[in-house]
Amino acid sequence: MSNKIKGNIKLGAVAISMTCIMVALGFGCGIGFDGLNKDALNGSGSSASVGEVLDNGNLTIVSGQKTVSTLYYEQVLTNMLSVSGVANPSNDILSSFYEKLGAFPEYGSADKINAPMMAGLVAVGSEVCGDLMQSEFDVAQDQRRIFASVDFNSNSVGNAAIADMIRRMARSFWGQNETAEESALIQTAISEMQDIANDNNNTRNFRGDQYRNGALRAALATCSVMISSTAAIEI
Amino acid sequence: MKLCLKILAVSLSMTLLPSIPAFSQVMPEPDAPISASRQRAALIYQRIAGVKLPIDAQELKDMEALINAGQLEAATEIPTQNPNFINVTVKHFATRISTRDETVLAPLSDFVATIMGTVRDDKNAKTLLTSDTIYKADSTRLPANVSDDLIDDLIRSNNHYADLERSAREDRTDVGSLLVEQRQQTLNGAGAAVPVPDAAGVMTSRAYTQAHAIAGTNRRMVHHGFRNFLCTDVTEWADTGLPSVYIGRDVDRAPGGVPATFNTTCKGCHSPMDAMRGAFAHIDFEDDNDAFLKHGTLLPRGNGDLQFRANSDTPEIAQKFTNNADVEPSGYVTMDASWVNNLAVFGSKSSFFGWRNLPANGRGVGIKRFGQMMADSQAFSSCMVKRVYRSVCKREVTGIENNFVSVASTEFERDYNLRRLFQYVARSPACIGQ
Repeated sequence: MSNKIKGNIKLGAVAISMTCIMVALGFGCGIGFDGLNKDALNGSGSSASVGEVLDNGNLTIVSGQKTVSTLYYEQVLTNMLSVSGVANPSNDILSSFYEKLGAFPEYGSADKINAPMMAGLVAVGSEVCGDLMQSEFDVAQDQRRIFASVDFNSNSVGNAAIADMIRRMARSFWGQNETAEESALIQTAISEMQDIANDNNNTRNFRGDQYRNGALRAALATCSVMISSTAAIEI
Repeated sequence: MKLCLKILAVSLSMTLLPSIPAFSQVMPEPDAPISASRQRAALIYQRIAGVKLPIDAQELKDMEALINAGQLEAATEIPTQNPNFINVTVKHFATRISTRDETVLAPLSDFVATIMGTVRDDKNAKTLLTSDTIYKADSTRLPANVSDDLIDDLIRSNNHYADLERSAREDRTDVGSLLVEQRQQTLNGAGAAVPVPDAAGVMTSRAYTQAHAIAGTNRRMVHHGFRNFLCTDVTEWADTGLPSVYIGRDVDRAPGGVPATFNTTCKGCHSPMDAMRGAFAHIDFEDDNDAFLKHGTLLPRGNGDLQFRANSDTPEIAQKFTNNADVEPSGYVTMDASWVNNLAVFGSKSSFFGWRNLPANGRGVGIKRFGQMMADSQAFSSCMVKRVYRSVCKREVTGIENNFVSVASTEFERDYNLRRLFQYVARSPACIGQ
């Protein structure tokens, strides 16, 4: 098996695991919906998984409990800019958002989460993260808001730096600290991502060569996943 | 020289144009604890402003301090200062009421802009049904490529608002901050812009009349007026016990040859609805390319662009009021804009809406008086509570929350301030949990 094919397989695996993580963060294992009465999602009295919500489709209203809902279409971009602090969205962000607008829900009902919506969120989120990284790229490392521990010139990111990056994103994008479980999920995915980056035959990149090395790719992937996860779009 | 001045003027106007302020860049505090008050602040903020903030944002710290000091009401003022409160949350709230299908997937319009402006300016919400003004973008601060011709872009089309919405999307224009009040206008027979006679807030806006006064018989103006502003569908207020004397000539008194069908079904809705549709006797909205709100007192009778479709014996009454008159020739003939609220003076539903300040015997004339009647009712207040609840709490209010609706309605009636209603609902345990 050629290195290129191996790289593509790994990319697919990472994509799948990233999608799982994205959905998991906030539902089931994440704290995104903890304390928000998961019972309100399906009335089963048990923790709701996103699969149950999609299959069930009927949400039970529990009086005196906050209703779980997601951002609706107009809020998606504004929210991503707000939590990331991206001041002036690039044309890449705007075109991506308006291209995917139809995939976002009309009202933000939690039972309207579906695959096209999540894919759209990742697409827009990755563009927002691109802008965010760009804005921090030229700033001294100790003055960065999100990537303060990441050496953008390196081909890898150490565990402590990853943990710091995740914490900063969690507080910014989710409005809360990440759990140990969530952190472990992301770190595993990043390790796989770095493996791919080390594969010299893999030429997949984002916005040109500057995103080719491992640290940049790991930062972009982590940011894209966290900003488009259910914990980030729950409102 | 002239060119230089023009370029300078354009440059200045471009620099002065309001756009959504750049979001603040919040430095995360990785090791700082997150208190329950901060989490509550974050929840209230995102429900009102429609966007999240990083948990370490100064706005949330300020709200946290106010919450800890027991000043919850003051804390909820902070998210209303975010431009997205008007541009996203209130716009979404208003758009849903603006269309026949009650969908939010509709363009910005004079109807929506007027609700946005009313909330921004803390105006009494009752003016939404009684005022003779609408909101549009300030002509002196127009973003590039926003058309602003009074007749072509506001009276005869929605171009002005469609352009504003495009500008908001492409250039992140802060539409909410651009809005100014302007007298509602339409065209007279000479094609000149003149004030809309008997204007009644958003009910005589171009968007609303386009949705409900186009074609049909203008019964939809009553039906949707009750549905949109009193939150009750005609099926809820139908009453077969009401007198049928005001039912129009186009309603068959024996559908399929069975009079009982009329008496047990048709009559229930038509008795109250037909008795009130006279309020809209003078208006029409034709389905043309350059359609505008036509008023029978301003236009000569005829089928032309600047004419009003009417019969010769009632030139100011829309012809649609006499459609299919041969179905029941003895039916009611509308001769003017008078109406009667049968629901208030007869039958079992007289207390259903909580009518207040009704005209004598429930009889009034014109759209403005009709709008005033709705705005004065308890049903209007509770409807606004229910709609704000839907917008902020992300679900319909349920029967078990009737007490909350009642209390919130009473609170709302202190000053009919929609901004404060958003704040009140968003901080209630019924909405965000205990």
